[in-house]
Amino acid sequence: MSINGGPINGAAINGAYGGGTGGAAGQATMPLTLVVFDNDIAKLPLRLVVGEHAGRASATVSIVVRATGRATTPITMRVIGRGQAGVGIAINVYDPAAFTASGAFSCRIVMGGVDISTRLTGLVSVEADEGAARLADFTFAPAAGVVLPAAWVGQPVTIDYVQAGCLWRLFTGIVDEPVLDVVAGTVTMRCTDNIQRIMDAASRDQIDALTPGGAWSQFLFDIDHLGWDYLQDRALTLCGSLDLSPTGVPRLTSWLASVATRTFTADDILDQTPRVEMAQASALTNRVEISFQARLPLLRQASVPFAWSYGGEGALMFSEGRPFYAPEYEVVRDALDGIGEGWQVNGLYVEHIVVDPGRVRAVSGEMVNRWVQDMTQTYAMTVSAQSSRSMYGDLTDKRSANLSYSYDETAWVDDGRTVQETTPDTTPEMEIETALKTLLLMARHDIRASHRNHRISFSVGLDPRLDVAHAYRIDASGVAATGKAASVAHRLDLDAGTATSEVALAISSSGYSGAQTADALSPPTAPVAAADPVLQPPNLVTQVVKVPISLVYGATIPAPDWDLDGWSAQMIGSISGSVPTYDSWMSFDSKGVVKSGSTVNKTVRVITSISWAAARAEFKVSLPAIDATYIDHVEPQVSADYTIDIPEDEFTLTF
Amino acid sequence: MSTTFGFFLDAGLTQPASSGMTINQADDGSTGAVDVQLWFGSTASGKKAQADSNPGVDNIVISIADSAPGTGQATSAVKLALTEGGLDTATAGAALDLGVTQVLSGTSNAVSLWARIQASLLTIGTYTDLSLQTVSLFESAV
Repeated sequence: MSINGGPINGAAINGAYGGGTGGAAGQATMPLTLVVFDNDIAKLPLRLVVGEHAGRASATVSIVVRATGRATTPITMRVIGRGQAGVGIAINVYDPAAFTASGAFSCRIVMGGVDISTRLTGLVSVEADEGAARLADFTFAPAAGVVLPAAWVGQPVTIDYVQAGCLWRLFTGIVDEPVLDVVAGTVTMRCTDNIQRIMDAASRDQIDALTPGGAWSQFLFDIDHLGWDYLQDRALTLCGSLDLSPTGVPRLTSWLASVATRTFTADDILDQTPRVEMAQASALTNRVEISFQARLPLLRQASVPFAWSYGGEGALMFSEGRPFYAPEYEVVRDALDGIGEGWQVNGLYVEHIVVDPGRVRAVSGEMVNRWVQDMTQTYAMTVSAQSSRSMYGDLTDKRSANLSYSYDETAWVDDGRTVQETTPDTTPEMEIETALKTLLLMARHDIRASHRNHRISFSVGLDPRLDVAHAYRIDASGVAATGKAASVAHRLDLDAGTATSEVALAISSSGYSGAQTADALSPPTAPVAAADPVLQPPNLVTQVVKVPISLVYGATIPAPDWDLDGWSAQMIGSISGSVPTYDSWMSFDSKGVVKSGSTVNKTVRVITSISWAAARAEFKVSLPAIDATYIDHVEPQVSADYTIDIPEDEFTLTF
Repeated sequence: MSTTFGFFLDAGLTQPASSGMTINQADDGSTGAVDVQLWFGSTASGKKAQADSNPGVDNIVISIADSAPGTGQATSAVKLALTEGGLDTATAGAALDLGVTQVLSGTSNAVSLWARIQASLLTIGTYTDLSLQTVSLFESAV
């Protein structure tokens, strides 16, 4: 709590003395701001100290209403909750020798909050496979009385192994299916750790957090996959397994068997002989060819600037005898609009002729054409394990996928041209990169998974510490191997008083002993098509040609080059005549042109003026055709090769 | 009122640590220290947790509580750090300042922390006197 930014009871908190002398006049003011935190109690006791003053002490309270009305500042604070978060820590101190020697044990099972340990009979088993649900079975004899068997389904269950005074959690889950033996009066509970339902309740974000290093693409998996299905998809990109611990905690464990947490010898193994199962060659994969195609819209644009100017008005009107005949705006506009399919004007500048309304002397702007070219990007990638290839040759699998990205072309062709917006991002680069990354990780998963199908299985006296999250070493009967546990099954025979653990180690090996290299599985850079075409701007000229009256009926009539772009006009004179007055030396040809030295046809009217009119006038703009390279379907390609390593676990046999 | 914030045993915040965590230690000391990663957060949406002592100002601190001082395991059995590497230099029994005045709910906002646990008493048995506790939290909408 503070006042005016200073601590309460701080020495600096004093009202300012407002004026006067000796406190006789003036006003002491002390604006107060009380900062109250939400958990504070707001109290502001005030003590007014009036200094010594001759006469009587007085304190005037002045209330000044600055304006009518009321200022309000609503403050809403919603307190959701208060409390402490905590987590208990249970430390089991145990005798490690208890798990390697036969000794008394018991089993504690709590179902639905009720300890039913004393009613157990027969076998209690807990089976855990990496990447799968942990399952448990136990049988018990319900207490006499009426029970509602349907109420058993879904009841929470914990199974603890009790030895040497310590509880060891073997299983945490629920009852999946009660199996009743009415004759024997027992019920066998088939239980699951419920990982599917737990993951079904998790969001994609939560599952992503549980599976770091994994990837997922909607173009490779079912876009509707959520929960457990989504987790299974991501698991295909990992070299590890996600399952629940004996206490029900999700954990992702790597397949790498880097550190063995226990070594088993022949003395530990019950039948002294581990069982070895080798992976089948037909199940091996050491090379994956990946073909990924992404069909995308390639947004194309061609922009061509143009500029036409008639030139100096005065010069054209009065020099070279040429008439001034400028195009009408509509003529120019029609020409620009009629260039060809797809071309439209952008940023048109028009210089009108003030003295000749409707006609223009200059135009400029940009012709823009937008279209969409179909493009299929092809990514050809291979992921291979060189070590395995050197041992087994090429064992190739193929995987292909494609992506098709739909796009409303009108947004680019029509709307985009109008507003000339920045090229929209229609290339789903992130989606493609994610899909490629997912494919690469899946290939590595496939190759490595196929190389860890060797299994070494053995049984030992029950050790509750054994779990599929750990790696173990075995050195017995000529078998020396280290691998991550692929499965662990605990079996407690309560009637016989025996407890065993069966372990199956997954051994990753290709038999290669040399050094290996591994590339980063970074997707290749996207292949690109040619850049947008660059077209030559049109050369817009002005050709206004006057046809001399003498040649109207002649063989060769001057005319503009109609093939040229720009403004072209052919002007024909309209003759005004009068009764000829001429000098005696004058003569005229049949067209009324003065000549000399010949017979004079006096019926011919003498031309007194010519008014010019356009016999033909065109404003023309033409642009070069866009090459088919930029229009037809295009297929840029890129290829990339990746090498991965195969973890070589210890695995030797001595005969 | 309680808080939706708490400790979780997995990054996805699917498994609340309400039932605690169990650490096994051989009585000959051969197990050594066990490192456990925890997450502090909430799966609720649009919430934040602050230190109740001065919300938004004081940092959130996690301490090691001992319900039976003088017996059982000592608080020195636990080290806390924000990173696994930080456990090497952490002081046994010392509280952990998360370094933040608030934690937002949601998986991505959860704060990861590490606990290194090594029994201070190696007499066979199960000891449940230790726990991790946050300071009193004030939870409100974001």
